[in-house]
Amino acid sequence: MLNCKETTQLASDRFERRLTLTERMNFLMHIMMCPFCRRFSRQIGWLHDLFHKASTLPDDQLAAIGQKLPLDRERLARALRDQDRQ
Amino acid sequence: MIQPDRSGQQHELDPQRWVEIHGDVLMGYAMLRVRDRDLAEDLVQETLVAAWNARDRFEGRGKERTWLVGILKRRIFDFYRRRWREQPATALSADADGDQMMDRMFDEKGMWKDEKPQVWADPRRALDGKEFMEYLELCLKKLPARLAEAFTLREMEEVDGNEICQALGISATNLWQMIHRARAGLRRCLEKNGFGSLGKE
Ligand SMILES: [Zn+2]
Repeated sequence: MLNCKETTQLASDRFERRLTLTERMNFLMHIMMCPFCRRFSRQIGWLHDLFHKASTLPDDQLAAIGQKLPLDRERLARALRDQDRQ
Repeated sequence: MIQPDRSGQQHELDPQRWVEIHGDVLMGYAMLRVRDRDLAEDLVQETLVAAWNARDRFEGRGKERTWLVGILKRRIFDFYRRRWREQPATALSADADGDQMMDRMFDEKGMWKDEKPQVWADPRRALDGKEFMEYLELCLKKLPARLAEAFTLREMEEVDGNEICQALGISATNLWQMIHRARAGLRRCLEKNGFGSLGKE
């Protein structure tokens, strides 16, 4: 029987690699009995989905974040113009 | 060089205009991944300069934006790769690998200690990606830096795990452990900050 620390490691590993059959069985057996690891496992799945959402933000939302940080456009444009002079 | 703009009109490729069209999007993209304004700005500048010098090679095939984001992605990973290589082990925090963090969660038998996972309402519909990142900001800062960085590259940038292992000089098993610790630490921190009840109607 796996302990909770090992079980949560496997819950996380599911996003990184394919678990072996034995690992899957041990994992399922543990979360059937342990509400805490069951919650953990479900919640990191939700977080994973939210990360995916955040990593694929549409351009207009990215621009909204960028606009809040005053980007020195003049300096940037100057840096580009300088390239052409070299 | 003549390029069509978003409305399909032709215009001269001009640095000022280029910065105006792409600057904010690239800045937002970088900021979500490095969470440091000055660093994000440097990376955006490097990206635009590199792209500007190579603009003849971009033949208008595909989207210009996608091309730029591809360059920025590479720059972000290169930045971390360099930082990890240069960072001497002594400069890392005392809990660089999160051992202590895990010891606060699990007892010596590997069972949950006092802060067991609570019931959450599904937060996915309550938050869009941007709001989630705002929530996360605080908790990412509390993680040991290397855990947060490796995790961000894997989860946000979807950088290949093998590449991260190489950059950090660690095995796959080590990386999986780091990523797991980052997840566990974030989960707990979010829970402490009321994340579990966000999904309630
Ligand atoms: Zn358990």
